[in-house]
Amino acid sequence: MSKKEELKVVGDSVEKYDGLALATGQPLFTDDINLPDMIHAKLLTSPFPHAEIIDIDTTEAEKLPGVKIVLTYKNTPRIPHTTAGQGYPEPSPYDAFIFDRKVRFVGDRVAAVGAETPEIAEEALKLIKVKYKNLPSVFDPEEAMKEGAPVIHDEDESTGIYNKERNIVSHVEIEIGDVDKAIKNADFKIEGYYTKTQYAQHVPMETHVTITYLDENNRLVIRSATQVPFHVRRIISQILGISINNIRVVKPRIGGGFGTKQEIVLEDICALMTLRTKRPVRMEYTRREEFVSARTRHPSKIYIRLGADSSGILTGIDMKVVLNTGAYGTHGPTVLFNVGSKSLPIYNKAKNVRFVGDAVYTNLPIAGAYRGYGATQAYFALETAIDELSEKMGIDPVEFRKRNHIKEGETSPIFEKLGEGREGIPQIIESCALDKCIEIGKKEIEWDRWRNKKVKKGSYIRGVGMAILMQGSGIPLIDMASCEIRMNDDGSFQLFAGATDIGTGSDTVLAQIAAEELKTDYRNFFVYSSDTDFTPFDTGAYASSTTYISGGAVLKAAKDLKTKIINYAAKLLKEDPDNLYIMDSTVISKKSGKSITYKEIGLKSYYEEKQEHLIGVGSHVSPKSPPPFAAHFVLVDVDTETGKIIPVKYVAVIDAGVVIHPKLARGQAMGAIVNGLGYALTEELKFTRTGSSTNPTFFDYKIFTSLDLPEIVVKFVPTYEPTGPFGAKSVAEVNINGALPSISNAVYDAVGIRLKEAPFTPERVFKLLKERV
Amino acid sequence: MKIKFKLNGEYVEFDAYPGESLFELLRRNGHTEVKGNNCKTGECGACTVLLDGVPVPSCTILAGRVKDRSVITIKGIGDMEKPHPLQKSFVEEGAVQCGYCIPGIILSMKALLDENPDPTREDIKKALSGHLCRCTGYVQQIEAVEKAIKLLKEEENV
Amino acid sequence: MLKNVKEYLYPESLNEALDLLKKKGKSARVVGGGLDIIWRSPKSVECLIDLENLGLSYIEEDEKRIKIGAKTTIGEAQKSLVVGKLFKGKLTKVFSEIATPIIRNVISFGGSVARNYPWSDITAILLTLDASLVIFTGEEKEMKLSEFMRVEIEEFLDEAIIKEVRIDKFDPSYHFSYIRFTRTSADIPLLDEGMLLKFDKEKKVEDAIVVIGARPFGPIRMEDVEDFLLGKTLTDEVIGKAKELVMETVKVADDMRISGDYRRELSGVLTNRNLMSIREEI
Repeated sequence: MSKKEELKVVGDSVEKYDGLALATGQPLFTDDINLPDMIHAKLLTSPFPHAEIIDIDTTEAEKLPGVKIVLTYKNTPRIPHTTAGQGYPEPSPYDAFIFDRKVRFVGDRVAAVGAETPEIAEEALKLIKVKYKNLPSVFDPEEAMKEGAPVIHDEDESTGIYNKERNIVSHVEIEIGDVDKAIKNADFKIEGYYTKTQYAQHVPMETHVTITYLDENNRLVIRSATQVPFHVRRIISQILGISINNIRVVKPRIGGGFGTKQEIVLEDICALMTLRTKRPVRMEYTRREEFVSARTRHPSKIYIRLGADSSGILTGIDMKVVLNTGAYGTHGPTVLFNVGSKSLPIYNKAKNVRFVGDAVYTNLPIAGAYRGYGATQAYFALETAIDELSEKMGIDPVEFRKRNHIKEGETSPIFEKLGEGREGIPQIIESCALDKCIEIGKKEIEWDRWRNKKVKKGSYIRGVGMAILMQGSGIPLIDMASCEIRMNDDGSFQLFAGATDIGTGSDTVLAQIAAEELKTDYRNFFVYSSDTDFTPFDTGAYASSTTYISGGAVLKAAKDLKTKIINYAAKLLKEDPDNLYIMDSTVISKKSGKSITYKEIGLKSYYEEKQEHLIGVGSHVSPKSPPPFAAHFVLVDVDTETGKIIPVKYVAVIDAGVVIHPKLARGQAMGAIVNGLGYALTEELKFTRTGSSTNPTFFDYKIFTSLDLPEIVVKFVPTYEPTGPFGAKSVAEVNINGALPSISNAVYDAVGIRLKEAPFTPERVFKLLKERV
Repeated sequence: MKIKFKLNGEYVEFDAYPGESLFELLRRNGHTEVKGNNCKTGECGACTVLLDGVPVPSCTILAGRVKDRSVITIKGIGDMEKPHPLQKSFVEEGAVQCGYCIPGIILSMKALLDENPDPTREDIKKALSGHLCRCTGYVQQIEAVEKAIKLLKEEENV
Repeated sequence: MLKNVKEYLYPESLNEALDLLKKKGKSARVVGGGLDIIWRSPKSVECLIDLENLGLSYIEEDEKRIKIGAKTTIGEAQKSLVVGKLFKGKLTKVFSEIATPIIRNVISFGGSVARNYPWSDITAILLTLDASLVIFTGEEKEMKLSEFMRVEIEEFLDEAIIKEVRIDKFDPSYHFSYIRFTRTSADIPLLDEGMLLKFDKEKKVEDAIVVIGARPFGPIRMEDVEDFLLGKTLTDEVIGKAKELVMETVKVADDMRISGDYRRELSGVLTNRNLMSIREEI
């Protein structure tokens, strides 16, 4: 595919397929259906952070009129599994059960009731009598790793845990070169530096919700707000012992995912209730349950050392991370590896690199997949340490990064050493405009105007900071997507993809790819996605894979269909297929000028001549995960009287390869940036000393509103990624990683204090300001 | 108890539980166009409807309060055949991602433009601030309102 | 859903409403905006008494005062031209920063006062403006808000209904400022401070009300500071001393949001800013 070919629909901000349906309130979400005879399920959760369930008595609850079923560890299958929606064999440990005899955090599952109304179900919860035996608990991961700490997963059946006695879910250790020596001999070094990040939640506007029922053929149907329908199908099959062929998973429109829906959260309970009662079951998390019993981001502590020579080139990076994975290990190993794999390659000039890390259990809410997936925590440590180093060396931080970042044509040994919970895949960067991103961003934020000037206005002091970022596009050699495109009898098309549109607009983007390849209007496609009965396989919406991998599958299917259309037309036109080309929904002969439209082909292929159904199929796996790159700059005012940080202007310049849908891509960047700002400044899930969340509400878990926004400028620098569909990479995650480091750097510029603990709440900043004085 | 009120321009009479919210009343009677109800405090704004033209979170309005009053949901301002300029511009400007917060936001914006057809960007941001959105970062939504203002002015001139 | 509620009633007069309230006793609640009832979902409530038909949504004025019906929402007050005349629109601006625009359309003045949350902007603002309430107990009784806040409110309201809020129409010698410190724009105040200062022709403080709320305790008059300011002009020195005095005398505590020490610092900052803001106006 030549770069220079003129693109007709790729690169155009076409109308999003489901946009108008969503804007007019159509019943598209999981809970927008009402099935007769529906049972409503509610969850009883643990009030203790760590306890054994000595006994549980549900007789009173079962007697309550309207209660149809009560589930506990006593009457559910005990199959260890992971709730993580990942490809098989999952890198995450099999340490979860539908219900266990033990509870491991405040909010953990104890029992579930299904009743005629949600109110009755709630009443019934109160009638369940549970006898707990409290166990000692641990909330700090570094404490949990010590000898003698309470063992959170001591059960025999769990597998895939690195070290049960030390609560270590996963451990990683890789070294390239000799880091200790390099840093010891470095002309300039940073040592004794660390950063800490907090518990934060995705806060999708729609909480987890699942409806299950048996269809007319007695098959189990799971209609769920999920990012991973096929993984749900497989895991439910595993847990409940039903064959995959007897399960159908449908993903309707979802009200936001961001990683928290890359999990089995409610599906197993609902499915089991449906199988036993033969009735539809509906379960939905309240906002409070969403904060506590869904998933969160892994809190982290990252120790980092850097060494550089006098010419300003990094010689050594030593990164050690401790991740708090909460009470269960879902996504623990993979997020852990990603902390290193998505950050360290960006500074490939450093010839000596060490990455050591542990993902550790604690008796706190479960950390899981969250946009950024370890990179968000990593860049906080890395990009602020780099600023510290450049200051020590007297080099401008922009300049330092320009000298050290990875460039097109280069590689990093990290790609091979760190993969998804195990070794990775080597790759060469074939598209990278990071240098241009830095230049453009620097100008847009007026770096030279503000840097080191500490401009004052009343009690506000102004500073500017930056960070460079990279992520990935899909998981190489693991993520597989597939697509099927069928021609209709009027020359229009149906596009079936397993790819999961979680609001990102991927249905539209995939149609654009197909339309571009088949040289037809994108409105000629009906896109149907994420139904395991009808759409071919896709791992799901995670790892920034949809455009790159699912798009790759669509491209293959479109090419396959193009060949079949041309071959069919060749038979009808009685010409050699090599003489034919397609243009504007028509097949034309270069030789004779004869042509036949898709419309004619549709009718004839269905009913009239040499009939066949023209269907294109394609599956795609990539040996690479080409990183999108970004340079983020932020201008802040620090209110020295209160410690409040006001973000004034935020600039993100992004290399996502070829941008297929500019408005959707810009929207992705904006959303990620604002989420990142909240993560940096206001968001924190807090706990009492006994592991109970103190703020599982919008009242006290504060996310940004429209009035908190700085001016945000998003620019794309197009590059061409040869392995991506029409040159595309990805954009979904990378931009959430910039706010934390660039704000810490900007505050340092303004007032000379180094913010190492997130979030940078006014009180935290104020304390540091006072100490400095 | 029976509640009679005007819903999207037509009189309806629903059977209501005395202690339920307007959100629950509407959803129970098939009005799935009102999304939300997991915060139940009015803080996310997704369940917003217009009560006598004023945007309120329907999860915080007791059903009994709407007796003899007028309630407008997103279906009351446009549909897929004839969308309201706000609905059109939200789609065109990439302001709709997952769409969960959108009906509530569009109704708030309609109320804003009904009262002030020429708001500043600051006015728009203020009116939007009662709505939480995790997907879009709000910017393209603000731009969509600005575009809708233009479209509405054009409609007027025609 | 308040599942224990069995009755939703629409009395046609204040007398009828009060009778119902007394008859039904502790299991009845009066519905203003209804926000607090839905937030708290009290299980003991079995009867809801709607005040819609009592004509309590109004903002009127006479020569001396602004009168706001108890069912009036903050959103309505924000749009009122009558309210806009006070302090050259400053009160309108202050109202427009409370909670969120759509929640303001539900919060009623009566409900706000009755619930008396310690972080309530409305009670802090009204206390700063030395507002009065009209309470209906069978007959109308006027009392100062400050007096009302000293009674056992829940018991008091078992046999009374808040009818109206009254604010004096302060002449131009009065200046008002109110600041709330928040985490994001859609937030309760983590600390708030209101000031109402009257100046004589020499720009000396003739009368002062200083209120600090969300300490995390409810709003309270800072009498030492008020006394200090009387007779003074707002020089840098005076402002500095007032700030110190506030920080010394304000009673604060930790809560899960911020610490008492930080609140103390903030009290000084807000005092400084309020006084500076007023000084610019006079």
